[in-house]
Amino acid sequence: MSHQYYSPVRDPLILGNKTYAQITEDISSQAERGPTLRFMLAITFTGLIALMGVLAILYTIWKGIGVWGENKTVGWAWDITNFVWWVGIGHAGTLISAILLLFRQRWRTGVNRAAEAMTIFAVICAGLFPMIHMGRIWDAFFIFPYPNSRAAEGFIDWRSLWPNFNSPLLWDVFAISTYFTVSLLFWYTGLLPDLATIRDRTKGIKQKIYASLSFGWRGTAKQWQRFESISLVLAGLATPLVLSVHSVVSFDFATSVIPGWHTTIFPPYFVSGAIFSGFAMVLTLMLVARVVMKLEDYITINHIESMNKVILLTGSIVGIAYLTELFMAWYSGNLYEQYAFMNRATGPYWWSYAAMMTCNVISPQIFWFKGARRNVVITFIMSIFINIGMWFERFVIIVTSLHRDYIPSSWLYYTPTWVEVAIFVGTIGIFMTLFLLFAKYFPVVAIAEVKSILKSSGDQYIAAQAKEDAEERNEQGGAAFAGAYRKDKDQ
Amino acid sequence: MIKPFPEYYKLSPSVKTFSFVTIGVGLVFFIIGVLLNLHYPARIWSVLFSTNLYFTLIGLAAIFWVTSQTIGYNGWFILLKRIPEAMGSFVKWGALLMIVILALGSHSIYHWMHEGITNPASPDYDALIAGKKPFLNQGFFWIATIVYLGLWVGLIYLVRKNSLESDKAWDLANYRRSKVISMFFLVVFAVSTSTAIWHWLMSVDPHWLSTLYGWYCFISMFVGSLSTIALITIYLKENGHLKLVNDSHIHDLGKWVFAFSVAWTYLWFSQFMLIWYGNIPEETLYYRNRFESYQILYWLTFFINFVLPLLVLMTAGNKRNPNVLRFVAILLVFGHWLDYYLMVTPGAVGNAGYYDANGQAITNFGIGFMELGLPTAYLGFFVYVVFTALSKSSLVPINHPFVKESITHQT
Repeated sequence: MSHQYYSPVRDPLILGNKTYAQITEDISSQAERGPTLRFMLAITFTGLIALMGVLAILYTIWKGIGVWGENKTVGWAWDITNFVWWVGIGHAGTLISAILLLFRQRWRTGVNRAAEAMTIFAVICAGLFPMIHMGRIWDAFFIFPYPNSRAAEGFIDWRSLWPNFNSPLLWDVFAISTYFTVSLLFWYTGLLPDLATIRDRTKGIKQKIYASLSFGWRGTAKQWQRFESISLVLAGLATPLVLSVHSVVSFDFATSVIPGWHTTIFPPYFVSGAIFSGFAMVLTLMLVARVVMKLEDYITINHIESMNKVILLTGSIVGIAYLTELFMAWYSGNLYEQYAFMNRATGPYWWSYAAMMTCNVISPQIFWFKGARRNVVITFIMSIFINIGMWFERFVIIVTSLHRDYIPSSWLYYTPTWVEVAIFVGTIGIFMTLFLLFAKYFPVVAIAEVKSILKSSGDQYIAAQAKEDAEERNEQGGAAFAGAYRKDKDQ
Repeated sequence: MIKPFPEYYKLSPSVKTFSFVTIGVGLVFFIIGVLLNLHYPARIWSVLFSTNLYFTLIGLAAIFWVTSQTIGYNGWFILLKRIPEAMGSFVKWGALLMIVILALGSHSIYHWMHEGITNPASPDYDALIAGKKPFLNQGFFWIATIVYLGLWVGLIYLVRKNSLESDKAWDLANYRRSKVISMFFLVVFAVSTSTAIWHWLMSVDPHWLSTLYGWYCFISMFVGSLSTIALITIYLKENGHLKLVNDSHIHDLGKWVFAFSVAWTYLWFSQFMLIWYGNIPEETLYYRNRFESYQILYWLTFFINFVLPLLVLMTAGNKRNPNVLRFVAILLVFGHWLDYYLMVTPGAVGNAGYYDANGQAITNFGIGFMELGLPTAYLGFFVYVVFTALSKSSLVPINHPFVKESITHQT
């Protein structure tokens, strides 16, 4: 058997006729240089926003949840919307690194590192919200297993260890902490060889720091062999986690009997929406990063097109789910279901429903056109649209389902206060600050993994293969295999 | 230099014998079952309907696999591509039989088609079903059925025709055309499988609904289809065909069967758990029917379709072993047929035929001569149609731009 053949029909994923040395140079030099003025300004700006968020959180803890706009009827609003939004964004990274690894999608190597980092930062932001929403944050340990006397008398089994084991909110704690741990391990394992590369190129204190970060990686055959095994094991573990996290988040709603929440399509539909929003956020950040950090040869238009295809796919799945829910609400013959959906579309929160439908279902249809998928400006605008649309989707699901319950006398309208807005904007600041730090001091593209696809997806190798194939066809007279077609034969 | 060469399959006598024997024996069993159950037409029609639907959807989902892999730039599966394409040619026969079965038997299967059920003056009036009349009425049902089946048959014809034409000469335009056709197929498939499932299957229990149901049925047919692809591949390979296919292809097929069996369980669990947790009588009645009278069969589907592939196909060695994969795939084809059978029969038949002398509903297997005979006959028919289609073209799409990737495929 000859070596693995790669069809030249495939688009190149590394441009600029790169050698291995150039790849190392292009990516690690970014991390080795000192911070520029532009970077300092950017991180000061995002740091101040993050600080505002932290102050608003402290204010909430000091004064109590009363400083938020929630009321007796709408007990979940911005906080849970933000929580679900951030968890959703944290889906792209692990999908790219785990599921696309199993599907052998080579384009993942250009974006997986940054997407994984983003996943981790997004989950950190997400995790803040349920904690703050507890109100009495000092009681947060309730969610962890510990021997206690709170369970009903006579139980000395698991029921006394977990105060509320049958609550999906508790399942969330497990789902998200597991996801976070595995994603972090996956990300950091991948970083080891690249951190060692930077260590070997720097001197002094920098070298010491990167040396300790790279855990003594030497790049021996044994280390690579272990590295490959652990990557596969982590990919295997992470794949079901990508699906389970947002499924469990959807259980928070779907296990209830609230019209608009209790619907069986929620788990896969939430997962699809999460991937949709995660890719949008990856595009928002990477479209900027690739220009600022001059990574256009590694994050090419072909990468952007592939991500836009994923967006089109998951966006369409989400659209089908919306329409399925709408149809089923009518089909159920259940007055309350029907009202919940009518109220979403035409009630006092109609504008959030309209924003959701426009940004998530209608506008992504533009990606049916190749020209739009390969257009950086359109892609950037669409990625912002989707970020907004997916936030509104969670707002629609949470707030419009709650604000008019079974008793019209308790119908209320929810409006956020400045504290809630400040916390939300603050988490964006935290996210951006962490991302900037990562982008400055870590290799933002996976050096070792990009090198592994150079010979299959580098532009010069693809051109050479195309030439070889064309010569081969010419030798065989252009139509070498004509005659395999059997239309003229009997049967 | 890697050189793809065309390979031809001639319909072998053993396949012909297998088809004719299974069709013959299956039909004899089926007819015995029919004669024993003439007083329960619902049971006869529901097994005919669910079996025909299952085999049709297996063919349809095979084309879904081809088209989705075409859109996704899959290189390794090219050597196997002609197998799912041949499976698609069963859909036209399934569609034809579907129309016959529904024309003659739909009144026995669908409670909502009964006389007077939407007529307020009638003693049989059912307000809930009457409210669904814009969707559940015979006119719409028939138009929709014909549109779904027509679109499927037409698009499958285009997919296969375009693929076979690529054998004429090396032509990239053909490859580009395959992407466009695939895109149209996928859009039609994504919408029509859900809506067709609502019309054909969900309305068997007309009071019940589940938003996930369409996707659940999709994943069930998909696993059935992947298992069939694996079985045909292994059969052809062991009989000296598909010379370029190696262990890695078998391994990858095993991965698909394993992964989507787990995905099936994910959707099974999502639907079941949420209905169980919500505990709303209108929703739980679906599972109650199945647990009361079909309990053993219901858990059997769960065991075959989840526990078995999970445990057996977990290791790489087992996925690469054709004997192990064949064992699991045969059971999965049966397990997902059972799944479809249990989607229809409990709703259409209820406990008819399964009451004891005092009129109490009794738990039973629900499997008799008919339920053993008909799928056997269909299996023979399916094999005959698919292998005939396979014999009409080269097994290797030699001019596909990714064919060499598939030949050098190693995992």
